[in-house]
Amino acid sequence: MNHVHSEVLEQLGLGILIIDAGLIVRYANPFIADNSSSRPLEGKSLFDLFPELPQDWLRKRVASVLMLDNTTYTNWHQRPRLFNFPSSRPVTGSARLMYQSCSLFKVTTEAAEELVCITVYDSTPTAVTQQKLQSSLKRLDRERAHQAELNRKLEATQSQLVQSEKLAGVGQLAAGVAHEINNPVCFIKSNVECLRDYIGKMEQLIERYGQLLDRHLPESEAEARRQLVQSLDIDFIRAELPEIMEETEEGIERIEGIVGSLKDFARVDSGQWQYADLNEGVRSTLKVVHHELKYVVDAVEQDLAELPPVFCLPAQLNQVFMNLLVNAAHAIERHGHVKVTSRCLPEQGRVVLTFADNGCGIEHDKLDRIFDPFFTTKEVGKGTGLGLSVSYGIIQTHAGHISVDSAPGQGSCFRIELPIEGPAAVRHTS
Amino acid sequence: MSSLYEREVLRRDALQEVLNISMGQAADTLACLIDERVHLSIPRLHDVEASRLEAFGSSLIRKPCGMLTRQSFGGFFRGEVLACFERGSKPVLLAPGLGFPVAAVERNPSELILELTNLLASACLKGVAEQLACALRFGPPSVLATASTVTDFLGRQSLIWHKALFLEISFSVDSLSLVIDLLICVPEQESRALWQGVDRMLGQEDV
Repeated sequence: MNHVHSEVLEQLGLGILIIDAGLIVRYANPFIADNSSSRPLEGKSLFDLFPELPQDWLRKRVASVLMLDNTTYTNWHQRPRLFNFPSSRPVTGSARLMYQSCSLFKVTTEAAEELVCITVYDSTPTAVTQQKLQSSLKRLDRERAHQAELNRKLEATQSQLVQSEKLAGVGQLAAGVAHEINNPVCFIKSNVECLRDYIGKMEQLIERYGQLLDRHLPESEAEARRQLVQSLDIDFIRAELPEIMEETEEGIERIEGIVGSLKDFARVDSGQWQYADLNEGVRSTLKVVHHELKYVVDAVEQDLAELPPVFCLPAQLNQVFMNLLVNAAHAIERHGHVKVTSRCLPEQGRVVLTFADNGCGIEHDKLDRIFDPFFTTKEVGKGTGLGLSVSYGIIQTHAGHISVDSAPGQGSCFRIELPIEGPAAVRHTS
Repeated sequence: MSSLYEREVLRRDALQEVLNISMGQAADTLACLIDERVHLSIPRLHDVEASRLEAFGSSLIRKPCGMLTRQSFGGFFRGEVLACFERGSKPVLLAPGLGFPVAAVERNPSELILELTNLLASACLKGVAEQLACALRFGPPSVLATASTVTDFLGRQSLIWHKALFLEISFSVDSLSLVIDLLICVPEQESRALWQGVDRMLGQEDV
């Protein structure tokens, strides 16, 4: 059987290498010999034949195997190879060297000499398959993460859309209400004007009657009339009437102003891209948010320079202005100051608007998150965390840029830059 | 001493002759094994450049597309055998002759296909090794692709060789209309030993 054993070793698709305690080769089967340039291998130092072997490591392993009579393993996962044998796939593979899984164990000769057998298993096919699998898994993981990110963005966009739609809905509602109010206000105004005319005429008549009565009534009757005039406070009423009419007309004018601002703000009649006066947008928005500002803001300074008409969606930009102004009001506790400026940068083809307040400001670590959906620094119930993200989206739609400069306790200044000729001009330029 | 060119021609002629004889022997062996009359084409030698696989593809007699298998060989010289089982061909027809249950092969033909790869590689290279008086050993065969041409497959890999010697052989079984295409591939860095073997056979080892 010795011959058969020897044949088995020769034919085996596994490297068999036997060394002694001094790491001198005693036997190497053809699997090993084929990968060495030196012949014969027997009697030579293992490290001379294979200088790539990790000497310290291997000496320790051989010593421990001889001492413990155990088996030590190496796996291609942790240690791709012990020997720098060429790959068993020289044509179809992409690795130059063979992946190996090895084992070291003790064998004893008939003369009781202790030797160490090293087996070398070619793990290249397994390694190649596993590496392909790993790379596929990594790709799948990357794709899954990308998918999750897309889903997150989709959800955020959907929320922004809902909020945007809601704001647009509020705008439409406001415009509808404004329209409905406008009709009665028109006939009230007309009636008040008639009333003022009629009252004027009645006043003339009463004045004339008074003169006639004073001249022709007997003294007792004249006294009775004076007492009646006095008891009815007619002189006061006659003096007060013009003032009441004036105040009524002023009130009607204010209603007309608010209704006009609401209509301007919502721009229901102009939901399409068009050239618009942004200063007018700022002014009408300021009127709409007046009720939010008036309790905490002492003064709203408008430093609005002459602007060319800007190609935009005016109603959407008004929403942005409103968000910034309401945020400014929320940032101010009391006696605050808000300043709105507008400037034209003709050489850059852009306009710049700033909305500054001297409110509480934004902490530095939150600055880069304020345009994220659902991020809010306001107390629960006061903010949705969507105002600035919606504003950001609207400015992006306009190929513009929105940024903030803020310091805690000193206030915030939001800066909006917009291309005069709209996003198409920006795309064309870029 | 002959000129380098004459020597090269002589070497290639000798290798061609070695291959012709080997294929004759291989055909006999395979016929015995599968119990069918088989035919192995005269091998054609191709000098292939990895950067010009298209040119190699157009120089092939047949350009089959189907299941691709491979098997490593080593020893005196190293390389790989590639086999293409053209789509539509029915290696299952060889199942009874090779002792494979037909039903099992119809469910999963890959074991039979790998065994055929092994048989063809061993049969074709056995004669080469004998004539060059050297020993060759084989690794286990494996599937490379389920539907591809050799050039498409190689074109998708980051190959580690620049030039290689490819030997093109077709194996067919007359009665079964079955053709299997074989490529015995030896990268340039490994072909030195092959040519040494040829030189030794020609008695020109010292040249």
